[in-house]
Amino acid sequence: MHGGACVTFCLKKLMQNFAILPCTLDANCEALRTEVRAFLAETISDRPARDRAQSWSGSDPEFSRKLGERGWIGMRLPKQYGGHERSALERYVVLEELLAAGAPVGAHWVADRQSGPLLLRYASESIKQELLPRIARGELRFCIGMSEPDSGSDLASIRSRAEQTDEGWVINGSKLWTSGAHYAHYMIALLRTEHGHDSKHAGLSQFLIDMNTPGISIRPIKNLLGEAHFNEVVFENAKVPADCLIGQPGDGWAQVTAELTLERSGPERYLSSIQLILEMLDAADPDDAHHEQVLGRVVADLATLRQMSLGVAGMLSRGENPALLASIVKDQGALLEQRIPEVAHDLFGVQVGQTDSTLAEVMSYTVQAAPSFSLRGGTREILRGIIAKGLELR
Amino acid sequence: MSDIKDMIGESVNRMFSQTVDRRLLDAAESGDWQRSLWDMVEESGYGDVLVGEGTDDLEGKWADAFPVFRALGFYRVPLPLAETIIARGLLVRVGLPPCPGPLTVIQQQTGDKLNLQIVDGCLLLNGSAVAVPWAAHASNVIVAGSVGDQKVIGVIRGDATGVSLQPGFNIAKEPRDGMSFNAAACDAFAVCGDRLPNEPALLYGALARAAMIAGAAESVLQESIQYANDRVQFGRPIGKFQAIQQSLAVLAGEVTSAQTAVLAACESAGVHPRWFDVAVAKVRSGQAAGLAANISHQVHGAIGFTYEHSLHYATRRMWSWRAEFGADSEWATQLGRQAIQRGSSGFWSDLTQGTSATR
Repeated sequence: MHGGACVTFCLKKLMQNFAILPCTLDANCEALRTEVRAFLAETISDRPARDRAQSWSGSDPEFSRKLGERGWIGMRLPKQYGGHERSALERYVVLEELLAAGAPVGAHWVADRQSGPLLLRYASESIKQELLPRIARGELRFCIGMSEPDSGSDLASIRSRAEQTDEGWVINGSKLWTSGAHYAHYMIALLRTEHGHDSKHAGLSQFLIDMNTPGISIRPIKNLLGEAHFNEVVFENAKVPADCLIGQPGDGWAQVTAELTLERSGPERYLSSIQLILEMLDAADPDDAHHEQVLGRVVADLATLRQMSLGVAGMLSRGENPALLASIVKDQGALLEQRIPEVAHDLFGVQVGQTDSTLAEVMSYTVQAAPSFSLRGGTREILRGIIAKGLELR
Repeated sequence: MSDIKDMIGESVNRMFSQTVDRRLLDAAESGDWQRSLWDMVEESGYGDVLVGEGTDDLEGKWADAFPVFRALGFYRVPLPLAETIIARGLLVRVGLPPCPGPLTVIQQQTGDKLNLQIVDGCLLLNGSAVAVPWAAHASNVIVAGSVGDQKVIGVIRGDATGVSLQPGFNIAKEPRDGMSFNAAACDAFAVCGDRLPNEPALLYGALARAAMIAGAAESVLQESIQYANDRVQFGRPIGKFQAIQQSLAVLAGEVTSAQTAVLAACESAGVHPRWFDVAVAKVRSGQAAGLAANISHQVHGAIGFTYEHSLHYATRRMWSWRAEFGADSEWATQLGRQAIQRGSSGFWSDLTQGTSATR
C-alpha cells in the first residue's frame, strides 16, 4: 500500500557522526586572547554600542592598520609575504575576540578572510609579493564580484565576461550587490571566459581587478538602513594585465566553491547580533523568570554555536574537510542571529528609532540589518540545498 | 578522543543494532522486563562506564560514557541503563561500592515532598518522589539529597520495609513510578562533602538524557532520509523536492547542534560534568527534541503517525526525555539568571573560559 515505506525497524547503524568534536585551545591561544583583549581595551573602549552593533560591517582603516601592526591580519600567510605563519586556531581566537567586542574590522575583513588566501594559492609571484604584504599591514580593501543583475542564487549563470587580447584581458558586464566596492582597492571577480559549454559551471574564471582601472564605474546602492554599503559595478572595456587571471582559466567555479566552503563556519556566522545580546543582559530584570528563560535559551544557543564553529575550525586545522558541518554552522548561526532582535522585541518592546537607550540604538540597527544575515554569502535556501545534498538524499 | 571511547561506541552500537527490534520494543511497552538484554548489557560492563579502577581513576569518564548514552537514544533501548550508569557513578564518587543493578536515582530538591534524616547512624527516608525512572525494576534506589546543610547519598533496596510503589509511565511507556517512603531505612549512605556538585543526580541525569535525545534525534534524521529516498510521489522520490530537502537540512542542523552541545559537555567533564555545559546541553537538546519530532513526522506523512511504523519509538521518547531531570525551560531559566547577574561585562569571558586547556 505505501510503496517503500519503512514500516519495520530499519535502523541498522549510526550512519554518520553529526557531533562536532569540541576543540580545546592551548596556552598559546589563550595568551593571545589576553593580548587581544588588552589591545581592544586600549583602542576601542569608547566605541559606542550602536557602532559595535555593526559587527564586521563596521570599518575603520586606521583600526585595521593598527591591527596589522600587531600582526593580527594575514596571520596565516607565510612570512616571506609579510604574514605571520600563526596557526588556524590562533587566527580564530583573534577573530572571535574582535567580533565579540564589536571592533571595526570591515576595512580588512574580506582581504584577510578570502582574498589573501586566494592570491597566495593561485596568483603570480609578482602579485603575491606586491599585494600580500599590504594585505597583512591592513592597508588593502578587497571586494568580491559575484552576483549580477540576472544572476543571484543561480550564480553559475553569470554573463559578465573577460576576453583575452595580446596585452591581457578586456572585461565587460556588471556586478551587483558588491559590498564595499566604493572603498575597495581591488576586486576578485568571477567572470565568464569561455562560451558554449554544455555545463554552465564550465568556462568561468577568477580575476584580480584594480578598481582604478579605466572603464569601471561604481554606483552605490542604499540599503534599507539608508547606508551605502553595496554597489553596482559596471565594466566597459576595462583592460587588465594578463597575470590578473587568478588560477587556471575555466577553474573559477571550483575555486569559488572551495573558497565559500572555508568561509561558512567562521565566528562571523553566529556573532553578528552579539551586541544586542549584551544590551539585553544589562536591560533584563533579574527577578523576571520570563526574561531569564528566554535569555537562557539564547545563551545555550550561542554557547552551542561557538562549540560548533570552533570545532569545525579545529577539524579544518587538522586537514579534515567538514563541508557538510560547515554549512550547518552557517545555517544555524543565521537562525540565531536573526532570532535575537525578535527576542529583544518580545522581552522589551523596544521603541525602535529612539535614542534614549543603547538597547534601543542597537536594536534599531540589528533588526534592520538582520535580513541580510541569511542572504550574504549565499541564501539560506541555496545553503540548505547544499546541506541536503550532503545528507545523501538521492 | 580516546581509543576506549571509539571501542565502546563500536561495541555498544553492534550490540543494540542486533538486539533491539520492534518485537523487543513492543514487549517492553507491554510491561515485560527485558532480562536477557539486561544480562548482556551488564556482562559487557556498559553499566560501569562512569566507574574507574579506583577513586583516583574518575577523570574523563563522561567522554567514554557519551557513546553509550547516545546509543540508548539512537536504538531506543528499553532498559534503565542510563539510570544504572549514573547511580554507580554517584556511588563510587562518594566512596560507596557500586551495587548490582538495575538501579535508579532520585534527586531531592527544595520544596519537594521527600525528607531525609539521620537517626542513630542510619539514613531514613520519609515522604514521596514522583516519576522515578524504572523504579519498579530497580533492585536499589540511589537517593541524592540533604540532611540539614550536609549533602548525602543513600542506597535503599527497592523492596525495603516502608517503601511502596505506584506504577506510572511516560508516553514512551517507560516506567516512571511514584515512590512513597515511611521511615524507610537506607542500607548505606555517605556524606558527600565536596566530592559531589550540587544536585548531582539531576546534573548527571540531565546530561544523560540530553545525550539520549541527541541519539534519538539522529535516528529520526536517518529514518527520514531513508524514507525521503524511498517514497515516490509525483513520479519521483519525495527527497527530490526542495520543500522536503529544506526541512531535512533544518533537521540535520538540530541534530548537529544537540550532539555537539552534549559532546562538548561530556568531553570537558573532569570527574563531574560542568554545570554550565550540562545546562547548555539540556536546553539545546530539549529544543532539538520538539523540532526533530515535528520535522520527521511531517516528512513521513501519515505512515509515520501509525503505530505500525517505528518512528514513534523515538519521537515519544524525545517528548518524554526533554522534560526529565529538569525540563529545558527550567535549565534555561537558571542559565539566564546567571547570565543576567553577570551582565554584559562578564558574558564573553565566561563563555570562552570553557574551551581553554588552561582553565
